[in-house]
Amino acid sequence: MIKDYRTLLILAFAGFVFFAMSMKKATDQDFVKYQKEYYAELGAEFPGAEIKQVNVPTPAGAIIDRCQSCHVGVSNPEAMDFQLPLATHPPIVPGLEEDPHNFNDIGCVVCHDGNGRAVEMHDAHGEFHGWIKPMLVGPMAQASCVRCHAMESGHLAGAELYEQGRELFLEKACWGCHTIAGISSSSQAPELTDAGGKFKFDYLVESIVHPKANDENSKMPEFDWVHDDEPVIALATYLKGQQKNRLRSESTAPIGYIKPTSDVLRISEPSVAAGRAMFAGVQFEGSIAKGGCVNCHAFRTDGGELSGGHIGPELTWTMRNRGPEFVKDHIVNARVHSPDSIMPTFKDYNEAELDSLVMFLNTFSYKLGSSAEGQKLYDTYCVSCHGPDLKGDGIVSAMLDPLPRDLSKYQFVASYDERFQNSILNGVSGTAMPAWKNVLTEKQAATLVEFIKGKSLSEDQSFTRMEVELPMIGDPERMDYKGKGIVIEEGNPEDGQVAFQKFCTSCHGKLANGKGPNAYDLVHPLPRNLINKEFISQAAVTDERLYESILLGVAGTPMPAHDHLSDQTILDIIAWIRMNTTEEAK
Amino acid sequence: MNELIEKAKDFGNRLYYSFFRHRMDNTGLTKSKIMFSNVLLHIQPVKIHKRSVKFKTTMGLGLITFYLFLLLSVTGILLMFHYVPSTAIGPDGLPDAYSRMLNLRSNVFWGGFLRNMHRWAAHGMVAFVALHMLRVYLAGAHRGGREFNWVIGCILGLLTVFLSYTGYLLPWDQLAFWGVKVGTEIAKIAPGGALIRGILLGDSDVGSEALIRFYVLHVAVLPAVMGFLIAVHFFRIRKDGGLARPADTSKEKQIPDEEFGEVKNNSVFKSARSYKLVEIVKGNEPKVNEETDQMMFAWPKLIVRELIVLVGVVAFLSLISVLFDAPLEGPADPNHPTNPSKAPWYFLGLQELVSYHGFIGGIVIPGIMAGGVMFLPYIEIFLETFTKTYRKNIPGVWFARERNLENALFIGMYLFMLALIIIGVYFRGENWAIVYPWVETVGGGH
Amino acid sequence: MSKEKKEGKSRRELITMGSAFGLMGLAAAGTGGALFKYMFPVVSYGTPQKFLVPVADLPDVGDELIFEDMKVVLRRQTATEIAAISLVCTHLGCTVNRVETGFQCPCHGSQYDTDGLVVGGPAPKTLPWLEIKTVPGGQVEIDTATSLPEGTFFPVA
Repeated sequence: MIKDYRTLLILAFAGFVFFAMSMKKATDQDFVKYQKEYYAELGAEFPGAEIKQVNVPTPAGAIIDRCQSCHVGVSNPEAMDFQLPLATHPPIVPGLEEDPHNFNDIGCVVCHDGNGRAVEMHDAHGEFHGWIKPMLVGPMAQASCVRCHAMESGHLAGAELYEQGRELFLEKACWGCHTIAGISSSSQAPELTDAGGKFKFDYLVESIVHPKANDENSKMPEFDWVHDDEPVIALATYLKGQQKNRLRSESTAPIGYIKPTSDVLRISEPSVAAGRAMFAGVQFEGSIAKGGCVNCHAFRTDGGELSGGHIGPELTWTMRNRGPEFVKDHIVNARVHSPDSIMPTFKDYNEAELDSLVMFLNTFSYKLGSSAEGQKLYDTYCVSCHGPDLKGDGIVSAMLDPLPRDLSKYQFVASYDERFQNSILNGVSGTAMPAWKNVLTEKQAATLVEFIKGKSLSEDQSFTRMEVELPMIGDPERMDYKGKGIVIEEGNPEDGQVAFQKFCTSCHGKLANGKGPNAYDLVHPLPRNLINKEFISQAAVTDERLYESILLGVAGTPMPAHDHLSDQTILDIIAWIRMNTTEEAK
Repeated sequence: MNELIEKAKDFGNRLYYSFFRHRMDNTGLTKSKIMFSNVLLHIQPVKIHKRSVKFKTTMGLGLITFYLFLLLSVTGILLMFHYVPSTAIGPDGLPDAYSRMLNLRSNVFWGGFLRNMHRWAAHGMVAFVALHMLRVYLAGAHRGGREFNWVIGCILGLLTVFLSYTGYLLPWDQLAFWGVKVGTEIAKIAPGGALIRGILLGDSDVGSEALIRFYVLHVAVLPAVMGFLIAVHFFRIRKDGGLARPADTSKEKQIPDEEFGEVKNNSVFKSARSYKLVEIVKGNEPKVNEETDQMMFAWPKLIVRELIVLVGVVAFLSLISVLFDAPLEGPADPNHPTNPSKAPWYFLGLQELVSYHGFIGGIVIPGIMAGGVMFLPYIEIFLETFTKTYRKNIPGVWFARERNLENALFIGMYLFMLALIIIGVYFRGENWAIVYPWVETVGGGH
Repeated sequence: MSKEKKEGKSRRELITMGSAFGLMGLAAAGTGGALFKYMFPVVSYGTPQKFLVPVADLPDVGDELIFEDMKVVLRRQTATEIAAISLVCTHLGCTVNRVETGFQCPCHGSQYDTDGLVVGGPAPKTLPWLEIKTVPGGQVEIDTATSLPEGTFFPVA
């Protein structure tokens, strides 16, 4: 028996020790240590540790805030020089004798997030896996001002970073794609009205800097200003402030914000200056001009230097190439002309604003002299899209859809060089290739064609393309090997659709929009969008060209030959494509 | 003066006999009385076989499981004081149930410790149920009239898993939500699973209704059923003649009586034997002709041994609960699945199987396993009857040679499930792809 | 086995058993205490029991300040002495009104003088005077859960 009792004694002792350990752990929470330190620093008698809880009243109940159990000196000016977490909170509103924020009423988590219920540091700061509201440290807490204060169009002292972010949202043309209720409306990109409620601060920063980090198919451009921390933090602070879950309704928001002197500017009188301000997204007549074209589009100064973003095409010659009507339509809805453009729709611009932009774009006058060489011409007019090596990989090419033609493929150049002159002078409708006839002379265009041929064709790389003719109704069927006397009939769109779904969809997609499942594996060029009306219905895209492209493939591209299809099938497919791209179709 | 002392003694005696109905001496009569006059002790027999208290007989596994159940009941009731089964989102954006978890580890004194204890005890109980089952099977103790108790034990095992599973949801964090969600998705595969799932969740998906249902199941329905079945389980063990054991043989090592405490003989029969009438239970006649006496009084040896197991379990659990905090992730968010979403570990074997084939892995194999295991003794009887291989089944003998095949199959099944669980826990990463826990993954999403 | 040996053995057994049960009892008692603390509230989710008033906001000498939410009147006797009196009627807990003669309960007409002593009505006791503590940071903390005899003033800097 004594053995058993001895075992029992040992286990009871172990149990007692572990019980004592649990007691120590339960008693030694961080706040006890900090409150002891605090009173020692003050030289005051330690009255015993207690959890200091603030119940912050909100319409939905009280927010529990126990932060001041550790941050025990936040509202004690004597603790100014103490170490964190005991130190006094710096003034929130600079320049005021007495700060209107009383931490005994509003606590800490209302501005700084984190886990207000905790009384231990890591727990309180949300440093555990999956915590939804990490701490907003320092000025980032300005994101929270608007949770109580009505500020969307105002100015709030002490919220400078937030204000800067708000200006950036307009200046950097974020508003063009993203909706924030009351600021912008666009269905182009995810709505950000509740961005702060949905996303963590770090996630917002990451999404601004690396748009593809979380969504590989994101079409959001990588802007070059994002490599600078300051604007990114400011913008993220602004976005973090966009929360639907407000602690005060707009009407009961605490006063203390100063009425705005001016709203976002709407232009009523067109002028070049207004257009310039809109283009740059900068202050004009004291307030932000809603714009920011320059974030995506570049132009050439009179000296010939490129200035601006490289998300969309260079605009130096746009007015001369496209004309004012096209430009205005394009601003209002770019998809009218190029269905796959990522350009935002600026449909709430008024006529004066559109005119201002057109007037400003008209001021671009850079042009080469008539005697310029092929290389010089190419480097000026073509290079930003087609790239220095003619590979169609110019600085603005990545976001263009369809991609600029890869002119370094000798098969392509050798096969289609007779089309080049026309494409340059009259443009390719439905794509980013404009008509250059108002800028370039026919001779210059010819020089460019020669230049391209000279660059891409060499003697040891010869390529001869077969000649085919479009079969006419009544012609004998090419595939009629058994001699049944089958003759070509008029293309039937219904049969064409069946054939298309069978042979074409893996690349061109079921909708024929060029977004088939295999399209993402192709690099350059991507499958043609066959419901691009502007492209398909232009004069240069003849039935013969479509027939030839389907039957023989397109040289120098991934489009393969389809000589296993009968002529009738090809004509059916063409009929279906035509049906999709004519007005009556829909 | 003496009179006063006498009166005090008398008062003390009357006080003592109001509490206890027996003296405190070493006679067999007292030892018997202690056992059957105490409500907690009378569940156990007055005399037990010496073999029963040996470690190798049971390894204390069933007892540990029972103690864990008691501990879970106590800590569970305590936790109920600080818990609300509500998914209502507070002004701080946190669901009520989840906020209560945060409270437990901040302002509620000892709250974190009690939650840890409850959590680890729950995991421990599932594990010990499995071990207990393994012990019983390998010792052949599921046979010899104990077949039905095995079935009850299996139901208790399923209840344990279900109790643990219902409790898993209550913290309402990401781990809980997606763990339970994955579990209920598995249920969908079963024929009629959608029906059970609907009744369990009270909604088309895991949400506020599911939380309340899981809560009620967890704190009221399942513990009540479990308590009742535990009583039946224990009762049947006694009625079946105590722990399964082979017939006594003189070859068995005689344990000296003094090891079990002194027994003073004050019987008029000059023998302690007369009290063994209480051993007359089904199937066991008084062993008057036995050469060696292998029976002993339960008091105090058995009770002290049981106390050792209890204190050991509490001590070990306290240590674990001091050292390791129960997991708590961010609040449940139905829009952001964790990747990978893993069910609780005891379901991970099932989840792993389902990942190969929904129907076969989720229904056929586990169904065969659960049904097969539950009715295993009857299957054995069936096969023995119809193949006319009447074997000598000796219950209570570890690894009996006659049972080598069955034991091997049973161990094989355990190893199979264990391997699946280990793969599920450690070797499954994002999108249920194989990862190696020793290779650090770089980066990671949100 | 000799008798002495046997006795020595049983004594050792008794001591071991005793200490084991003693330790278990101690742990059980500790657990009981811990559970008491587990159940005892240390924070308040309703109106807090204590509240802070900046020293700068204290009333002038001879003046009073009423905190309606907290049901407390704060009185400054002299430049260095302040007191807080609860406005909760000692009869059935209504909030008493400050009137010229002292305090009057709107529910059952209990009347108190300016120091909270009962002068009429069903009220059984004097209005409780409350404890005031100076806390760092130029604030005083009033504890509404305390009940001190009338005339208990506290020093203020």
